[in-house]
Amino acid sequence: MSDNLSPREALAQIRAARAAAAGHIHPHWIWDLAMALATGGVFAAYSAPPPWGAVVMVPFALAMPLLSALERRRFGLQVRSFGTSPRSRALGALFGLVLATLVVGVILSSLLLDLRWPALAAAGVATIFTYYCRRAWLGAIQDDISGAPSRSPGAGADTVP
Amino acid sequence: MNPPVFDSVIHAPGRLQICAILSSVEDAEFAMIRDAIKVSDSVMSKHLKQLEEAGYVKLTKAAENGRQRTWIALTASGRKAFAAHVAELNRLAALTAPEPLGQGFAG
Repeated sequence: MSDNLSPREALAQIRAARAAAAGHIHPHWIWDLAMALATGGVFAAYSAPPPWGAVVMVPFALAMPLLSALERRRFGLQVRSFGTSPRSRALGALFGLVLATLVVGVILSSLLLDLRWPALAAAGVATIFTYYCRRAWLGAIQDDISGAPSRSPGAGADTVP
Repeated sequence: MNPPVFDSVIHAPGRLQICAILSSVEDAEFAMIRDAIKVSDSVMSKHLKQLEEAGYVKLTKAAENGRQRTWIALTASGRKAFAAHVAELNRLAALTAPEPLGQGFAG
């Protein structure tokens, strides 16, 4: 391989390297489901009467960072949390917003109205939403890395022309 | 936006590809990058040593399941230098382009 790359050759190499790295991200439904169940499990545990709710919540809460660490090892890379394209950023923001709304809703309904069923409803919503949002987000992150403009219109802005 | 600056440490093919991968992620594992750019362990180590000496990458060793794994991340100065280098590549490529290239690579 020549060390004297022309600018165009160098840009092509950057593109190829990024595409190869993006190829190492292998989304799999079982991982997305595990993450979704861990997220939903935290809400479901909250619906249990005290003190069991807090006790059952701990393993679910611990499962999330553990699954993230295992996934980092599986991919051989740690993706950038906030993404670089408008699509990946929007999906990340949407995920945070929906989960924050669920957390606030569940806590308020529990403290103010002494209701427990909203936690169970939130568990269902969180599980389904996490599953689909995470799959879409990983696809967007993959496009961010490879610079593929097909699914992420903004991803092309961060790529080699 | 980084001012275009040509960086001879980054421009070598192997190091250019390593920086390209690292610029798009938080960090990456040695074996993943080695496989992606299709080089041997020794060549990869040599490139990393040069990038580390320039202060562009940070290596972290971690024992996982009894195996030593090396995780590599671009430092802040590495990200800046790579972005500036890519800006320069885009500028040079545009000089020889028959028509405007549009939005360039931001690094």
